[in-house]
Amino acid sequence: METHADEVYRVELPAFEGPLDLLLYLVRRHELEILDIPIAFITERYLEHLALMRQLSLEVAAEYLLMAATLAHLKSRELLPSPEVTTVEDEEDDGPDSRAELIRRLLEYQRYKDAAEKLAERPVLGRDVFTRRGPAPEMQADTSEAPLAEISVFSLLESLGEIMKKARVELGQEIVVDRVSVVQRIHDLVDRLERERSFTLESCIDLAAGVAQVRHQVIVTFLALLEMTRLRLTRIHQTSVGEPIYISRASEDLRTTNVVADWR
Amino acid sequence: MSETLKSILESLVFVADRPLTAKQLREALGVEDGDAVGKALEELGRETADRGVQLVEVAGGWQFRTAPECADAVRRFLAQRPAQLSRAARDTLAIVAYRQPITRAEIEELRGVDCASVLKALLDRGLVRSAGHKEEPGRPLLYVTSKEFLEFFHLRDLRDLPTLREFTELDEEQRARLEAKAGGPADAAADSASAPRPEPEPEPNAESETPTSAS
Repeated sequence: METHADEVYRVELPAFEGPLDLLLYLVRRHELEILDIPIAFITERYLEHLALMRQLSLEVAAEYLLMAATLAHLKSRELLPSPEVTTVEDEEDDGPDSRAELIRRLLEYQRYKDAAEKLAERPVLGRDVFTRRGPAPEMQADTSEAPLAEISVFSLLESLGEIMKKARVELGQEIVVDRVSVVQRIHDLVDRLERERSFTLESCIDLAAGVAQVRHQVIVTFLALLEMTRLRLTRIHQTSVGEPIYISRASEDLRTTNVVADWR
Repeated sequence: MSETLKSILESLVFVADRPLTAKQLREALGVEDGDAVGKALEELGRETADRGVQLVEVAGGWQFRTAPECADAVRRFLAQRPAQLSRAARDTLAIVAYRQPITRAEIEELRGVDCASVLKALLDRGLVRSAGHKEEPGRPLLYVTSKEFLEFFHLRDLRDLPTLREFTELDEEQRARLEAKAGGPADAAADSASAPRPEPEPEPNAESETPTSAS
C-alpha cells in the first residue's frame, strides 16, 4: 500500500470561528448539555483540540489560549472544597470567569449561531433568487461616439507596452534632456482635454523621440492618467482588447481640482 | 380593481432596478388613493406567486424576482457563482441584525473573536453600515444592517427576521438547573454579566423576539 506520508496523518478538522465555536462543537459532539457542562471533561477535550491544531501547524490565536486559561481556572476551582457560606467577596472573586458566565456566553453564542443558520436558509439574492440584470441602460445626451467599455489599469499598462514596442528603434547614443514632470504632463493633458473631447493614448506620446525619451514619456503619462482618473477628471475607455485606448474628460471643470501638490 | 392600474404598476416595477415602494409608485402615477396601489400590488404578488418571475415585497418595496425553485437553471444560465457569505460573515451579520445598533466590541464579546476584518468585509459589501456613535468612552461606532441586507436575504423588513431563540424558552427544569449552578436566578446571572453594556434594542426586534415554544 502506497500512501503519501502527508495523507496518512490527515485529520478532518472543522474550521472554528473562535473558542466559543470550538466549545460549542465539543458540547454537541459529545452530546452534552450546556447547562450541565462538565468542566473537567470539556477542558481536557478543549486542550486536546488545541494540541491538534498546533500539530497541524494551524495558528492558535490568543483568544483560544485565554479560553483555555479560563477553563483551567474553573476546573481547578471545582477541585477545591467549596466554602460553606458564600460571602460577598467570593462572589466578586468569581468575576466574569465564573461557570455561570461561561454557560451564559455559550448559550448566547448558540442563539446567534442558530439565528445565522436560519438566516442562511432564506432565499438569498444571487443564489436562490435573481433580479433583472444590472441597471437599465442610461440614456445619454451625447450619442455621437460608439459606446465604450470601461477598462482596467492593466489594459492601460498593456497598451503602454505596445507603444514601447513601436519605439524600439535602435540608436547609438542618446542623451536625454528636458524631461517632463508628472505635473507638467497633467497640465498638458488638461489643456488638450479642454480643446478636444477625447483622444487616443498613443497620440499623447511622441514616438519620434528616442527609446529612453519614449519610456520616460510613457511612464509620466501613465502616472498622470492614473492620478487624473483617481481625481475623476478623466475617463479611460477601450472598445475591446487590443484596440486604441481613448481618454476623455469625466469632469466639466478640469481646473478646480488641485492636482499639483503630490507630484513635485 | 382597475386592470390598467395593475398593468402600469407592473411595468414600472419591471423597469426599475431597485425595489419600488408603494409611495414611490403612488407619486409617480399621481394616484391619490393610497389603498388602490397597495391592493393592486398585493394582487399582482398573488397572481405571480406560482410563476417563474414573481412580484415580491422586499426591503420595504416591490420587485420582480425569479422563483427560488428556478435558481439552479438561472445560475447555470448566468454562469455565475452563487452569492456566498463566509461562516464568520454570516454569524456577525446575524448578531448585527438582531442586536442593532451594536458596537464592534459588543460583537466581539458575543463571538469571542476579533471581528475587525469580517466587519470591514460586510461594510464593503454594503450589508452593514455605521449609524452614529455610542455615547460611552471612546465613542465607538454603532453598526446596523442596511437596506441591501434586507434585499440580500429576501426580507420585507426587520420584523421578517426569523425568530430568535430566547433564554426564556428554557423549560422549567433547565431553568432550575441553571439557577442552581449559577447560585441565583438565571436571569440575574445573565443580567449581571451583561450589565456593563446597556442594550438598545430596536423596536422591530422587540416583536421578533417574543418567546415562542421551546424547541
